[in-house]
Amino acid sequence: MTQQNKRRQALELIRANLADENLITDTAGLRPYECDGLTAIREMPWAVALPQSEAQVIAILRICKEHHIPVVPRGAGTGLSGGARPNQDGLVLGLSKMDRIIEVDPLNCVARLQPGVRNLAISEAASEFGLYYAPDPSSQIACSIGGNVAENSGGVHCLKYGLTVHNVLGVRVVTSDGDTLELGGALYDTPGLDLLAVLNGSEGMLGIITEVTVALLPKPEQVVVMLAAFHTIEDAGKAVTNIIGQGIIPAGMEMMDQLAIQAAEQFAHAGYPQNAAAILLIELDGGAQEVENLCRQVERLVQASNAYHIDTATDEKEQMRLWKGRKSAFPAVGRISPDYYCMDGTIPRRQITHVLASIEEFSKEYGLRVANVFHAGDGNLHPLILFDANQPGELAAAEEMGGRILELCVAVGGTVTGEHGVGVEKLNQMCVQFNASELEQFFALKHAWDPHGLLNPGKGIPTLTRCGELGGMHVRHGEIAFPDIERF
Amino acid sequence: MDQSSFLKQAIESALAAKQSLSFTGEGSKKKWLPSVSENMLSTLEHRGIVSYDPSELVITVRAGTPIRELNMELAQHKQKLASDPPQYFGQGTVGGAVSSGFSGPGRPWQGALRDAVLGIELINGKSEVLRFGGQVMKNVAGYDVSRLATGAFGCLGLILSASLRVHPAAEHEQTFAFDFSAERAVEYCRSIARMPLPLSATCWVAGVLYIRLSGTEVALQAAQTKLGGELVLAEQLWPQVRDHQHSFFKPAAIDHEKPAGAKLWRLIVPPASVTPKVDEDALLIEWGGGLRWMWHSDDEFVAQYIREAGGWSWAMGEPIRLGEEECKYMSALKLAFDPHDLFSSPLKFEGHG
Ligand SMILES: Cc1cc2nc3c(=O)[nH]c(=O)nc-3n(C[C@H](O)[C@H](O)[C@H](O)COP(=O)(O)OP(=O)(O)OC[C@H]3O[C@@H](n4cnc5c(N)ncnc54)[C@H](O)[C@@H]3O)c2cc1C
Repeated sequence: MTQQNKRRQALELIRANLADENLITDTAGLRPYECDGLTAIREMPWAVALPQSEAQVIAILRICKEHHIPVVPRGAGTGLSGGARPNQDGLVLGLSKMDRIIEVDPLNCVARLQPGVRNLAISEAASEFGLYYAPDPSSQIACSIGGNVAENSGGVHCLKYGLTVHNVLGVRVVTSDGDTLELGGALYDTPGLDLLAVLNGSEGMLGIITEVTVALLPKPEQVVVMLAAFHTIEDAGKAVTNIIGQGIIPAGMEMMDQLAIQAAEQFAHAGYPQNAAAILLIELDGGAQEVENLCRQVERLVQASNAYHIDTATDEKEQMRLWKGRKSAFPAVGRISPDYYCMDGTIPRRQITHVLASIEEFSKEYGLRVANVFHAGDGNLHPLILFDANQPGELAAAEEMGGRILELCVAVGGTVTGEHGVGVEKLNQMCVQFNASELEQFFALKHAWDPHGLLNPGKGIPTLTRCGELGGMHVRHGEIAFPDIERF
Repeated sequence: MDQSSFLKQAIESALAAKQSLSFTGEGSKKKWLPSVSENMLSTLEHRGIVSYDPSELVITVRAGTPIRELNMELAQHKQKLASDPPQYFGQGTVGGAVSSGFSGPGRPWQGALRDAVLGIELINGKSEVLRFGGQVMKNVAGYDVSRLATGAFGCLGLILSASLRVHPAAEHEQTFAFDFSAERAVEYCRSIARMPLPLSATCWVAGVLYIRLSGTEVALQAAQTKLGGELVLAEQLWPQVRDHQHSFFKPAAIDHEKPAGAKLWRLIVPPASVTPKVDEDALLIEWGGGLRWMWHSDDEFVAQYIREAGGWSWAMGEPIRLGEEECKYMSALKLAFDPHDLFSSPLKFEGHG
């Protein structure tokens, strides 16, 4: 059979397993799937399948294995690293129609969810029991729990309550062989190798997540949100280190610089001080008296770091106002620039001031503005590089500058991605962070799960050849990263 | 002292001689584990704190470092390990703790040990020294090998060092006791799990439920009025439970109160599960109901209980039983790290399920 006929046959087999409207092959229907949240990188898929059950997922994967068709899993498509970017000869497996909350179990403090359930819907469903799901990416109204697990997503509250990996107790996963594994559940430990841990952050490259069990936490009795404004970024950075150094772990601690503040203010009217060089948004939670004490303590600490303005919100409406500016910062920046490119490096907190100053220098060098809005408590930076894709060379300049920022993050002891994942976007920077043996180890791990390399091929881990081509400019631990690979 | 080149050489030689190898720290967990290769490589000399900056909330330590030493250093800065793994009264090493992946009594509230592992340095079965993860909390570059290697009992390689998340130590800690049956204790634990209380551990043993609170003085005062119970001194209790040194854990061979031939079972179940119908002396319940230790001589009784409750069981000292499909992927992963099957480990991926 010709390749084309084989593919046609595969399509018919897939169609036989799905309701008609759940297999998309026409150009207009495929268009919305050509990219994820990283819109600069696009490719039209061969077809899109939208299964409604695990049985359909298994059937589709078996057909794809039989016919050697690559599979790109997709949740809500809000990912920012191109993890769900299609392959032109591959099937996009969209999990958005598996969006049922199977069970909220208040006795065991867990919820069982299909992968397409929206992040925010979990806390909404748990609310009647006084419970909530802690990890809250800014995209929470749209992004799916399956995507969250695949990216090990973070959010504002991860400083105190951990990332997705810390809040997921179980998954069901279908492998490219069509096997189904049930890992964990309403359970605090799993037997043998921790397959559950390694699926978190696996970017759809190891298996398809078909069910997730998450831990639910009691809603705190009292919450206070404090805004502190500073005349210099350095002072704001110092305040972050001081608070944590004093043994206080706020529920969240976010920083925005002047450009981000101004953009957010125009967009959301949150009442941010327009002239501040930086603001911190600090959320404190706990018992009523405890929070009152904490508030006083944190107020003293930010004042000692030269905060010139403090705004404390105790009622929910005021808190929403303060958070609104932060949570809409990305779209707000989108309003003041035709395009922006979002970075995601993490650094040790003590390096915040140094790295932000270097970013400022890069910004001058490349002539591109940068807005900074980020998870300061975790040292997870999100420099947004502003550019105009219609100006020749600007996209390339933004990408190059972004690459340099990430390399700096690695150099100061951090990482190229804190929560958005590698996808297709940060493949080059992975060559800086890992040496050839480490990358080979990643490939061996991938091979153990997906021996035919069908799941999300080309994502997450760069090939040695690619790193070799990037070559000798990358020096790690004082050694050249790829001494054994021929240079081109 | 840094002994990494010595350890790497030892693995190279074993590889050249095709001789299987296993790793040991202080050997503090030996009695819980099936025996492994006679050819033991000890990490004890590879010890010391590599780096520690309290304001970054992370410490990097070599595998052979006794947990006691680590805790002493942390205490000087009013910090502690985010997870409180068994340390067998300070004898256990960091490498042993990470390799076995046991979490302490605070698991549901303070996270599992693997949650606190931010990065590792590992020698794989090709004798390559590899680094994964790092020293920052948020890091999704590459697969999470650090957490995969936690609890792998050395089957993927030798953990040379680990970067562990640390927390500020709680200002105050108090324990309250309740005279409850096992059933009532689990019910009570489940009802308070939904309340925003500074819970940090629970343990039911010998007819008494102990609940530990950790936090600021005002937080504890406020919680106490909601909880009730009798304030007790429990400085001994928690380390004893954590380190499996409480008299409950005394083997049946020495403790004649226990039925002859009884095995110690570690049952991981949904926390609200019913309590097994056994003599109350044969039970110890932690993790708000999620971890139950049980002495029992009838394997079928245990299997039946697990079938009904859900979860899994482990007869301490015997191999952990794993499902067939899980074994397929776990053994493939083992070979991905150790292609020559050099490392002998108490984790076995064949022969049962
Ligand atoms: C405005 C905005 C704000 C954001 N803020 C944050 C933030 O605060 N924190 C943060 O961490 N991220 C943030 N993100 C990024 C993104 O929302 C997260 O990565 C999210 O978890 C992706 O979920 P998704 O359902 O959209 O996944 P997708 O984008 O569809 O997919 C993401 C990856 O997961 C894989 N995948 C998806 N579903 C499955 C499944 N069921 N099984 C296996 N693999 C699967 C895909 O192949 C892909 O590799 C933001 C994005 C936007 C657009």
